[in-house]
Amino acid sequence: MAAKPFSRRTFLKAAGVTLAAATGDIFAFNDWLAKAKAAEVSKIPSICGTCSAWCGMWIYVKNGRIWKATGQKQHPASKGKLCARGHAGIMWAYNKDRITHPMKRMGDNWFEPISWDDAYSEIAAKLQKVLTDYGPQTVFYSQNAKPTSRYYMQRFMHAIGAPTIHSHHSICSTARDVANKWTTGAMATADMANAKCILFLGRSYADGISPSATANLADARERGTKVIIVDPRYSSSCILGDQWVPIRPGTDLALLLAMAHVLLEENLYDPDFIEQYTVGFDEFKKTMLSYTPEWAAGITDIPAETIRTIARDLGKNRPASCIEQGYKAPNGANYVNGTQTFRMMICINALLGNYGKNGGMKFPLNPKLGELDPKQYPVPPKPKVPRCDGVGIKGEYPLCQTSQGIPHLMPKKAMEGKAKAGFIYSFNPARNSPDPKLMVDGYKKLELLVVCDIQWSETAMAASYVLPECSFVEREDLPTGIAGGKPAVTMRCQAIDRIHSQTKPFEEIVTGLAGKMGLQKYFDFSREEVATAMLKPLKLTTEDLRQKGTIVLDGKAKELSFATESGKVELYCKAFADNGYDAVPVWQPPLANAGKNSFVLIHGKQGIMSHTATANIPGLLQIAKNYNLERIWINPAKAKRLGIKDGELVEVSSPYTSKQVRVKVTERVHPDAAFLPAGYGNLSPWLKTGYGFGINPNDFCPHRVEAISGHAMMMEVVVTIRKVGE
Amino acid sequence: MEDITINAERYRIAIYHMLSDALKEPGKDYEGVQQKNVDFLETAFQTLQYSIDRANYQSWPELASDVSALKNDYRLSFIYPVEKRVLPVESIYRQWTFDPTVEVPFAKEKGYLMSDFALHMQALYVQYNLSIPQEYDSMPDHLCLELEFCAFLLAHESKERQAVFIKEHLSWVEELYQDAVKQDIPMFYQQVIKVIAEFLKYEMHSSEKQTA
Repeated sequence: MAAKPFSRRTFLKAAGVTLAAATGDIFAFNDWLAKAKAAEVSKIPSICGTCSAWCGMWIYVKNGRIWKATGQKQHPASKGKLCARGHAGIMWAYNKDRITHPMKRMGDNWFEPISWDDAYSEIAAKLQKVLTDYGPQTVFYSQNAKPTSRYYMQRFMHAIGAPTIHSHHSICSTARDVANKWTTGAMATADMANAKCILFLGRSYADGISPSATANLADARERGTKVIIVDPRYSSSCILGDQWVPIRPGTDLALLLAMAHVLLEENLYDPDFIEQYTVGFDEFKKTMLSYTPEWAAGITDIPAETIRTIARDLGKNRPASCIEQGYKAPNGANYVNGTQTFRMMICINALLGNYGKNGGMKFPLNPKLGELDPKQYPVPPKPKVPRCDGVGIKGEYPLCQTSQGIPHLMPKKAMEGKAKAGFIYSFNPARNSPDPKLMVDGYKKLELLVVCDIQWSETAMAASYVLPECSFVEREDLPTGIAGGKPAVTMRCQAIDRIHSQTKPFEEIVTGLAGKMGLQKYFDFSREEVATAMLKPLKLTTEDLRQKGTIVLDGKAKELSFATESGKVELYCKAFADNGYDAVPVWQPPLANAGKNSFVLIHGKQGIMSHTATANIPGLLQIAKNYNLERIWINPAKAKRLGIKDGELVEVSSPYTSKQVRVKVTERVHPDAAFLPAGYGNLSPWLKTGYGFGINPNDFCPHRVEAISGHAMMMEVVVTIRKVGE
Repeated sequence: MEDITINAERYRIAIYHMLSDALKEPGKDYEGVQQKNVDFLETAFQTLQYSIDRANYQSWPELASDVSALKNDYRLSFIYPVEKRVLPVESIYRQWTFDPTVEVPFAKEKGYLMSDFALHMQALYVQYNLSIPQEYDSMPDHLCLELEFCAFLLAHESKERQAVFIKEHLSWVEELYQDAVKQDIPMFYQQVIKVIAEFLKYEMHSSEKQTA
């Protein structure tokens, strides 16, 4: 050979090459395929991680790869079924755009891979500096809470003396949860199996799917349950209901006040229940007197007679009737009157005397899980400094739950210099909270932001360090209890080997960082030891769960009681009065009101799309594209006035931004509302699949914090819509 | 005649190694080597009678003169930013599985890691007692490994098997090149991928002629 190229290292290393071994029969692809087809299939229990319904799933594995997935029959959320999101979400493992290495920010939209050891060392040094210079009250942790992350990061945060731990609920359901805490002590759920009449306010099982809830709704309807759905739009659930009652956005509280008025005026409430289980009935009744259906009709745009009929339907069927507990809808984080809206829902259920009754509201039973012996495994002391989000602090957010906190407030706190370092796990507040620019600008003011995720979310793009977790099919998690009529316990098990060697399960990440912080003594155990301790009181083992996935436990309903300060349902809530809030709900108008040519911008999930995270799943996004699911819905009457036709390109504008999208003109939405699906409009260019498709309601809404429960008031915005030339 | 054939085979092995090398992250040892590579490629292609124009690779010494800049080009081409890179991985360009019993909804889609072709590569490495670096565990069908495997087959196995291998595993590289152009990745790597695609066309044609 006359010339030779430069030759460097070879990657294929021979481990004692013997060509005799090369005479096997799989060299040709088809020969290999024939063998691969005949391989055995194994079945591993898991928990779907695509949305927060966390359905139990079986993952079937063949040749080390996912072969199919089905719903676990015994799991209360899946009951043998998975939705499209579950089937599509398992492909996250094989997505080519995952985060594959620990990454360090080097500039705008620029990160470089670093080793885990360097990442731990640098993060530990920066965190230590923040703790020394500013104190542990300036450090926060925000998560979409999962059993493993909750357990390990709570220990870590307590070990560094930092109390500010958040779940995602301030942009989801925190108004519901705060209202329940202070009104009944805990959240009860509707007994759909036995209800004769059930009222849904906004919540759509068929859009924010858990398969069992949707099936239960269909079953209820078939059994003859009257299903009334009040919603500014005709959601996918309405086909399973008897009656759709369109309502003006943000006015559910007025409807509820008037319904209470009718129940009281027509003696359609349960005096015995009121006597035995509630406090403040007289003040409550007095307050409700002025809220007539005629008054509410003007506010809600629901005819007075319809309001009366709904109240009577519930009242006459009591106690086997209820208002479903809600979630983000109608008002978990949407309007200024959110917390009191939920208090009124609960108060009406109390008027119906349905708590603990068949067909009414029942408190789910929780399995009691164990924990590690603190004598053998030291538990870090609870932090003594105040939280930096003001939760639990008089004068700030005294009634908001410390288990939830106000994560979307942190960027503002960073701008004020009150938050200096943060950890965010499996949560994307930079995209899923109002005012994404403020969120990113605030996060970038932090001296340290560590984000742990599997894909390049908008929040990850704002981080100083990004730590890659392995996807949910590649890891085992701690067991988790499932509350319900019968409690259950389940555990996600590892279905396939880690595809990217530099990704890690979360407990390894936290333990590694704790080691660098000198906190190893609080993490001197394995996940298996924690899991074993959790299951011990149930007389179960991790092997039991690896075999069965979900195990339903025996459970007997307890005697009815309410874990409030008074021990009763607080129609009048003293804690609210003590903190300057209305002790009995009164009408509070929403901040946003549609005009003749403007709309209140409402949003919601779709059956195939939960959040902007799911928009990056190619199969789901293709469905969205095929069916034009990104379009903004407006009512024909207003569309005609604005000269807008179905399918045209429009510009949607609020005082905060203007964006373009195509329009769906439909009678399925109240004239005062424009409905925009919440799952599109990815801003991170590294979410290659979802980037550039659709727009997101959070872009139009300002950053706000509601006074009582601290939610984000995500639908308090008015938009104008105009046709644009193409 | 035999000498010419042997010489040609050596050239082919060396080309596969050289082109595989070009797809690995450049280190300091990659400094100042491109002129040698250009001269080699020209001679090698002439010897093999592959009409791949020198214009396709003659600017490599210029484009790769600064190794730290080339390292940056490598990152831009294959790592970050995600929206502008290409992934020279067979799985991305092939149907995920041909096993008709697989029930995941993306079974027949393209664009996912660890397709049948990745699994087949893993099986081939096992069969030949070869190991790959850990960072390639998620992509055992990376182009640099498949090119190196071609060299391995020519050196240690047989021309026939190498011909089967390129036919079954390397038909997607032209698509990769189209993506590289579309994404406008740095020119050195666009040209490397183009030369690989051109070379493989001749290789496939040559093996078909032999079979015929």
